[in-house]
Amino acid sequence: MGELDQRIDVLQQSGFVDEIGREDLEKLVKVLTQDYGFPHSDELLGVLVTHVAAALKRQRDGEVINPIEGDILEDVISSKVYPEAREIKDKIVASMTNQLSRDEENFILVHVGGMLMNPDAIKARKGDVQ
Amino acid sequence: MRIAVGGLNRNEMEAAVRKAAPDAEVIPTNDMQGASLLKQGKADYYFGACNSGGGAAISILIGLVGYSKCCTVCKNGSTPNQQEIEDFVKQGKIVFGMTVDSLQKTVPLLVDALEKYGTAN
Repeated sequence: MGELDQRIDVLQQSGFVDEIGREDLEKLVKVLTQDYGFPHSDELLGVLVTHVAAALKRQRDGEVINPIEGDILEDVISSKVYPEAREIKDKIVASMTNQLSRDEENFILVHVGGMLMNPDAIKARKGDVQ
Repeated sequence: MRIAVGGLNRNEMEAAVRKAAPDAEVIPTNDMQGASLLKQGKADYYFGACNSGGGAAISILIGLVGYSKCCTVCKNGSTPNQQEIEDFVKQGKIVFGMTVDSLQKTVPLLVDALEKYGTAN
């Protein structure tokens, strides 16, 4: 079992996600790895999976998150990776059974933007690194 | 004092911890490995950062180390509060989440609190 699967197991066993939430996390992983070529070993993918699990728990608990800082969001929106980041974020959101708030979606957008700007992930997606 | 650091902007976190705690052993890692280091007694504390401060930074640690040992010392949209941080340390928290944005301000306060009240002293 890879670390990403272990991570999802821990998040389910500790109550961050239920069975449907787990499936949502697996769909997210599928979008990023199969559709967009990110390696399972991408550490930032693990961070995103963990973030979304926490977001699902927040939603279930009725906890509202403060919106992401405007300048952080603007950094991604004004970057050259924004069109792809938004496309990936939209695909992730559409794949999930659970619905997330706009503020939570913005956190996903920023995470995905960070993944697209990560030099290691860029190499891996080009096939330079397995 | 041995501090494992992980999460987003790990290099920045590592540098901030080294600056605030020159005598500490700083261990760059990730959340899964950080949890193992704490459970094996190979690290005293874990610092993690993410965009929200309480999600990706510490969720795995909550699962593996236990909620009672974990806290968010600075959530997004807020600023670090020295008294609140000291209270967390006095309660025996050993896993600390914070926002990437706040880590430069949060780490010195947290290190100071751990040096005064931490369980590793």
